[in-house]
Amino acid sequence: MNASLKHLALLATGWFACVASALATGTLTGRVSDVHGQPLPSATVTTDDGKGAFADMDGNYTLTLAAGEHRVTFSFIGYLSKTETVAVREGETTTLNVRLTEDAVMLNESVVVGYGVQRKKEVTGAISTINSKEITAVRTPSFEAALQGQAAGVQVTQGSGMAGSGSIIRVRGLSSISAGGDPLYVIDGIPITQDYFLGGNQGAMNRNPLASLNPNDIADIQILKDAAATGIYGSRGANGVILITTKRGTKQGVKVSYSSSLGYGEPSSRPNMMTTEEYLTIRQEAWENDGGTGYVWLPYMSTANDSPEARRLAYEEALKTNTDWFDLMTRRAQKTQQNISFRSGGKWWSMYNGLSYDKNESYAVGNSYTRTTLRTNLTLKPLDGLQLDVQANTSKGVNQRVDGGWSGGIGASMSTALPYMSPYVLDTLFDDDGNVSEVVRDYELNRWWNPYVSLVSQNRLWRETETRNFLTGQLTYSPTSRVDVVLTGGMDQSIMVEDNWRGEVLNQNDVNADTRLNWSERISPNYNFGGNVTFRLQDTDTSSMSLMVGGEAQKFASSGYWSSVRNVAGPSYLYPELRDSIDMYYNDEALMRPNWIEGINPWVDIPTTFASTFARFNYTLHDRYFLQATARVDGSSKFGRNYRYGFFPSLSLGWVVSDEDWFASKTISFLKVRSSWGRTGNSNISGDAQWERYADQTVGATYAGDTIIYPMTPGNPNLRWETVQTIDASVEMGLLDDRLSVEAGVYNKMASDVLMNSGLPSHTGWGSRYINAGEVLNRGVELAITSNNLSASREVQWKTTGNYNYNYNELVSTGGYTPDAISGGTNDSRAVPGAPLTTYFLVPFSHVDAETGLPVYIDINGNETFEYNLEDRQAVGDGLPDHIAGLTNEVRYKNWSLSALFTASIGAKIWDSSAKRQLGVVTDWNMRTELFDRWRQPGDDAMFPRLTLDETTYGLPNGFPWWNTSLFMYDASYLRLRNLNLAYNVPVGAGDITFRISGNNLFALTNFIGLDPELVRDFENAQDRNFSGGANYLTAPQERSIIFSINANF
Amino acid sequence: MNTRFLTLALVGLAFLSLPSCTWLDTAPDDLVLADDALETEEDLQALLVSCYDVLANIYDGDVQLINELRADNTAEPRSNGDLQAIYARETIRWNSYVGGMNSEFYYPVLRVNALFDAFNIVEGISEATVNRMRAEGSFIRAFCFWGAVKIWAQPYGYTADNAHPGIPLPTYFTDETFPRASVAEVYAQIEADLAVAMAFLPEENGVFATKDAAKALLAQIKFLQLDFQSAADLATEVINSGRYALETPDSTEAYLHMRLPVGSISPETIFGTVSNPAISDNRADKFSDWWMPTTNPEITLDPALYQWFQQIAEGSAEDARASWLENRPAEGQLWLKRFAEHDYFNVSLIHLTQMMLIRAECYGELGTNLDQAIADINAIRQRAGIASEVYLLDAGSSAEDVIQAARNEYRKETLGMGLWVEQLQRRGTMGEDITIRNAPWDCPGMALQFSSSEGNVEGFEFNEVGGCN
Repeated sequence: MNASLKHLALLATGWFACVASALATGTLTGRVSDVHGQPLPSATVTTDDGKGAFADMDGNYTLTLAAGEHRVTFSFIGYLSKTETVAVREGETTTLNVRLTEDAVMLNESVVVGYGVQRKKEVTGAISTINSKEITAVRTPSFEAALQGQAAGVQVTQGSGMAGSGSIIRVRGLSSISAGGDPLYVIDGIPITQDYFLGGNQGAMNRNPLASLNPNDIADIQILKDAAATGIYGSRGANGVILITTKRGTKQGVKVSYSSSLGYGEPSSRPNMMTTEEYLTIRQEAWENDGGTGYVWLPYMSTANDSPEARRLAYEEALKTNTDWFDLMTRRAQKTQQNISFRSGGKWWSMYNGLSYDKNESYAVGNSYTRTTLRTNLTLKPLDGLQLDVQANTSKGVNQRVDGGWSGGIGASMSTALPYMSPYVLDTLFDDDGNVSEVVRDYELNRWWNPYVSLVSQNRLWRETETRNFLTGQLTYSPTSRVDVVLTGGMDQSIMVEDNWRGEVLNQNDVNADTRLNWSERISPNYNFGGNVTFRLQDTDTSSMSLMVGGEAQKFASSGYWSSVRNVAGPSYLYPELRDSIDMYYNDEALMRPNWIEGINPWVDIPTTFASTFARFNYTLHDRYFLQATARVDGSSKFGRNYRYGFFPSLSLGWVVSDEDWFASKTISFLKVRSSWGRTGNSNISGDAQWERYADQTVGATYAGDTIIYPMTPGNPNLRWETVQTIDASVEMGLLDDRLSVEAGVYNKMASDVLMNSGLPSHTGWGSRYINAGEVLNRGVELAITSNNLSASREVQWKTTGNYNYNYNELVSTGGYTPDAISGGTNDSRAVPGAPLTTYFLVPFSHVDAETGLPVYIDINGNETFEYNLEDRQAVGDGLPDHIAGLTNEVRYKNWSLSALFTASIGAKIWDSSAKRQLGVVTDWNMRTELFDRWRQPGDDAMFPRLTLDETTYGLPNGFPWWNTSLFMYDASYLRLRNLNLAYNVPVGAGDITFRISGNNLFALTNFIGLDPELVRDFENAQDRNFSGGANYLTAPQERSIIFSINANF
Repeated sequence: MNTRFLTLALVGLAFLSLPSCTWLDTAPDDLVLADDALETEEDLQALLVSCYDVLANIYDGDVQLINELRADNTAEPRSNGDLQAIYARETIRWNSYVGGMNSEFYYPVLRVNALFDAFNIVEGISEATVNRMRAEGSFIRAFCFWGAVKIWAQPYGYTADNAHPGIPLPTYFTDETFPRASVAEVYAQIEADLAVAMAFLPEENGVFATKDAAKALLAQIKFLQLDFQSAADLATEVINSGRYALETPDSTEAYLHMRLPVGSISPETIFGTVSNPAISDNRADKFSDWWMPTTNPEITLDPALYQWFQQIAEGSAEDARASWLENRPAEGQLWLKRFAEHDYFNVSLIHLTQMMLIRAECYGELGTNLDQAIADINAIRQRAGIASEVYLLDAGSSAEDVIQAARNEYRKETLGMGLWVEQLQRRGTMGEDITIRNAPWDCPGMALQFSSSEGNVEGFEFNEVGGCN
């Protein structure tokens, strides 16, 4: 309505301008751009005497004005308007170029809110917006890591520097125990498949379902945080919703954007592993402390029972080798990326086409992720009131895998790879006469498992290839100006093929095959369809009222099969006929399988479905009082019939105080308060949790030739929705003519009926069972600030954006289960009522006794003791940060820009589970030099106790070497320079070229003595992922990278 | 206005109807759900067989080893920490080997309870079949309860009324949790189950449980309860059935693997488990994993045992069982060779030799039928190749001599099979001064610690850790 009037006014002023041209006139022309020089198409140019024009696609405008002085105002949505005074001379052309500064408050900005769009001013929920520039500015293994530090209340923990690794994102804390705690990802209206465990845990890494998404296709991301915002996603909004909108075409003409980048990466930090001499010294000392005499025995070279002379010879032989295994297994990685996109359009259509190639090597030798994506987004408006949007995307992500963590590779370089071992041995060859003919270098394979061997492509080829196809569509029909009917449909299909081939060298222990290929394919389709109708029930000068009702249905499935194949020359991506053969024999069981196909096994298909009905009611009064109510009923096949449906309402209010007549403040230009209440849910558990399941074996492992059937899982037909009730209150302010915006809020999230996969006592005969029993509280404060620190008129521009979040997390109840009933995999984190989720449950360590050098613990009563007793385990810390913050400063001068993003995390603890052996009992692992600070003689004040080869020295039970003590729990607080970015922009004709150099993870300030305080290890399941976010087990460090790029727009 | 609200109502109704459709009824395609799993007699039989399957899994050398490590036949395990902790009688809740075994004992119990529950669901099964299945299930449940209570509780007779804590006793199909029942209650349940078993089990049942198996199991239990008359009577019933005969090895190799045949069932076996080489189903692999003497075995023998064996078998040159032991002075080790290079053998869990020796010792304790007892003992010695009169029990041997001889033969014959520790504990309850590797037979750590999962719910009573050293 307003836009039409504006167009009408502009037409009228144009007509008057024509008339005026017959009089004494001159021409005013110029270019409207942002502070970077990027054109602002359709920017509005108006004069104080009512004349006006729109800028064209290149930002250019032309006005014919009466000779004389004029005040000309330039405006564009999302930018602060700018008024200039200009003198126009008769018969002459005057040029006036302007650059507009982004509006920190942006009241009229459109915000995607789920099944619709709202003006930011009207929004009553907590929503953070991140634009494409912020997403692509930081080079990360996967796009979601770029959200770090960009939004208040959103904690992003980047996985590691391994190619394709994923991040953990927590929106306003963590509410879930066994159900997935990650936010819901919705791309162009379709919730996508985001299962981190479809591929299990292989090579100490989980599959990242977001890795194949191209960040360059993303227009913006909205993070919905409170119940008012997420409520419309009801059932799945408990942990926040991330709405991703991809780019669209332009209104007219063709715009081409091309970018190319080249860079390198390396580990952000390196482990302080011991050299041979250091390790042998430490080991010798431990041996002597334990009463040993002579030289200590050395793993793979001698034994404790060897004679002293044999041990001495082994010791001296060991000293001849000093291998830096971490150095051997890492490299300077190369990174290259090419993107080209076309935005085009006409009167009734627009289209975006994007093509991207990204090869991202990691610093781990042999590891890379290569992503190729092609996207087409088409919008058609064939008739007034009718619009069709279609988004099609196909991507191929190729992850060239290597082992890590506990599985080998870099993990081995920090553990089992002892410095006195070499990756090679020299073999002496003799001729027929018994003379030495040749000395050849070969892999060391006889004495130990040599981790370097699997990095060599002749021995190991391991690749995961994901083909990801999105096809989504939206048909919008507006039969009247008061009704919009929207039909949506979409498909997200993931086809994951894995080849894991082991050559002869690695397959030596396989008595059935010389080489072996483990091959699998898993197809995971996800269908979504629905619709909604929006009724604008009332729209007057004083109030407006609208109602949206809709429905949605969704189906996820996943199926596939795996095969073990022997004696083949390589993986199926090199020998495609292998895949064809496996397919053929899988699909036709009647065929006699050849001997080389050892087995073909299907994966169980557990489809899950959702069906939902929802409604949203909005009421606006005087454009300053806003009310929104949402309600959603969700049904899920994951729950039994008794509790299949959940009801999730929300109510929110907003009040723009600054629009009140009585409000008069020169400082506060905008003031809005809002508050909300609502319930959201979570059902992100395995699809078979409700079922009592049996297993049957009619072939293979039967007994005495008879078929067997037996119960496997108890099931729970009364399983129901996990529910989070959220209360939120916020204030938004624009200060100093909106150059400074501040948004502050508080929230209280109480999760009840929290889904728990509780371990059952042995005597039940069952393993575990899902129940609704937990209660989790998250309570916090958020603050977000955007400031244009200098006036827009200055040549130097300085913008600061910052955000901060304090979150208190508490596991209120587990329904009577003890901490050991719910644990985070092998990570010693437990569900301890009264403590936060992710709590480490360990025997508290006090100090090293100065006289004896023995560790002193704290027992359950708080007393110091030498006795290590697992019954004394207590909640000693947790992996959730109390405070997180992000701060971006961007300075622009003429064509130059420099930005820096700092992120900070305070209060989380790291449980360094691998330090038990790197810094604990001396075993067959290499150790870290931090251990030099150990007790050696009476009176020593040391961090670590006297060295020993015998775990009982530290009071550990016989045969229980796992030293679960808080000695290895560390403060994980850090301040990190996440990104430093220097760019130079050159306007070229109607376009521009930007040259950029950016550095990522350049440094971190931390007291953590390990590799990197920001880490995500591999997990066994969602519960482990929730509980063990701060646990470390030989996790690879983050990557530090330097990227050079060029970006051209025409 | 009316049209608008009519439209609204229709649209709303349309969307409201979405969740109510059958869209949400997605029974997993490839999963076997409880409602579908047990529908026929064949299904119930398959469920019953799965119980034997678990028994074969846990009695594949693992249970036997746990009990050997609690006795005085072995040296300390060489490297495995979990096993060393058992040997030290210092197991904690997180001993994965002990905890895993603790869990596995209850798998058959759950399945038996599921079977009994399913009798109410599955129709068309004859009463005779139900009775037979119920009897087999009862036997298996009793076997498991007895196997578990001997490991995780102090023995029967530890207290006068046996009110000391036993093990949880789930006797119906549920996921509820149970407290520890007293040892008296556990034995009462075992006897009740065996009463059902003896009433309805068939005399012949292939490789599965028979009436004799139930009697023989009860004979062992009565023996531990010091009810020597009942034990002897039950053993006699089984022996006199004529269905079992002493194995008569005819070569050194046959002596070496006595009662551990490949591809056949030992004629002595009253109840046992079977392997199936045809499908690479090795149900005895843990014996070889732990004891295999060709590859630096984890488990070696206590030198005192070796010495005892040599002394007792003064006619060791004649005793073919001496070939079971091998002294390896170079390694400083003593090996048990019964399981060497021997895959896929069938394991006798209850056998004739046991019955004969139990009966002999019972007669000794009762002071009756000593001739029969002496004959039983001598038959076993002669089967071992001992021919010289001097090494056989005299016809007029005293009851004490009979008892001692029976015990000695029992220890020899069951070496490696985990049956010695319960005899030491029994003798402890009889008032003998029994120490096991310098610790009293009833020291706390003899009752191994339960799995940590038992502590998942508040209130479970764990055993005291250690206290034996």
